[in-house]
Amino acid sequence: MKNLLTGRVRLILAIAMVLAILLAVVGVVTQGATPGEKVVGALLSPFRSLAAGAVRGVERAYDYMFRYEMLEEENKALKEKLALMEEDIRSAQAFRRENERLTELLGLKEAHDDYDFLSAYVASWDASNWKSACTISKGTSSGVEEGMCAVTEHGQVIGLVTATGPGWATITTILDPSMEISASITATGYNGVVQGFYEKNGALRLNYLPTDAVIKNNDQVVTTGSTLYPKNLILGYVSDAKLDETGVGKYALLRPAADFDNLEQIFLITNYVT
Amino acid sequence: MLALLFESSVLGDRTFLGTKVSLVPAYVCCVACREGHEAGGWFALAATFFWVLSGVTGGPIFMVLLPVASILAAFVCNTWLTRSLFPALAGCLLATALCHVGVYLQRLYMDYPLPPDALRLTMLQLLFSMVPAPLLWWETGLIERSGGTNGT
Repeated sequence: MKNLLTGRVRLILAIAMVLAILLAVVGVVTQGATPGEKVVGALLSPFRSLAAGAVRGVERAYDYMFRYEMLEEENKALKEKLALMEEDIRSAQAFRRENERLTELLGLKEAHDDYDFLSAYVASWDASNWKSACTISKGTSSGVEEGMCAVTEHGQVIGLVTATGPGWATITTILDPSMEISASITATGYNGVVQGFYEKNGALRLNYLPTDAVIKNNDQVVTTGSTLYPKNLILGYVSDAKLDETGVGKYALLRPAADFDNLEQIFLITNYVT
Repeated sequence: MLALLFESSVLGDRTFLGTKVSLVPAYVCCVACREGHEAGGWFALAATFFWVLSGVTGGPIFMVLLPVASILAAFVCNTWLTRSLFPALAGCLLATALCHVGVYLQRLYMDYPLPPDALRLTMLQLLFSMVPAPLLWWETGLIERSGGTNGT
């Protein structure tokens, strides 16, 4: 019978142990991506972009072939919605003009004029159940830096850049429990901290609200602004509120504003005035 | 790399009953079962290192457990059983289970945040990750045969 623990097998196991210890230590010591991760990320980046592009192409072809009727109905509904929104825009324009005058009076700049955006496509997602992160197809060579905030085209927060390489970057989404963002409820002004929440799949939790806070469903929650996040980016909408585990505070469950299931393109805020 | 790309770029944003599919451990184990425990062990070591550096969650745990599981599965397949689909599938299950249960236990005992149904998700992940395993076994066979043909 063959021997399991031959010299070569022992060598493999020893190397595996050493590499595991090394990876664990480097992972703890290094902020963001380790040098090894940067090399592998750069190597994988074109293949990831290619695969993601191919998947998008196949999905579009599938949609075109099999979901035509559904798309037709959706198109009709969207046209109706558009007509309503155009009406809203007309009234909003009047408000906007009024707002502009008031803003000028107050000497404030128009909101978000200071943002610089960089667009990128999502190339892959973390295959683990324990982390919510995606890799995008742009990196340090395009000006991406760790700590940049990622949003959708509607200004809905997706997450933060947590690791970068020359042609790729990892964005840890706001659904990940490791992310904490100071936020406030627009309607009432209550402040709290938004965190990813495992107990309700894909939900967020707005912690540290006062016990007497009056919270309504569908109240909008936005960022309060920090060195990482600009002010007034949309995080989500209130779907429920309860007393927290300590009983001396309240928390609200939020439905994320961004549609994470159909995320293709994201926009990084590369520059803004705090 | 194909398994890794398929896992992260094609299936990366898709969940099945709340869980994601993991293909790399099963693929590495299939190769080890075909190549024998020594050559397969080297492959498992290199492939796992590459996988871990691609940024997978639970890296250092995988770095030890996947080569160990692959060597063990390949040894059992080649010494006591036959080098065929079902023993290889059992090996794949062992490799995937060791890796993902290992990460689950690490997160559990190191107080990382976990969903309340984390164990159920891990079990479902094992189950769903086994579905494409026969395809991986067949594909590694094709590669082995084409390598053998080209070599002669």
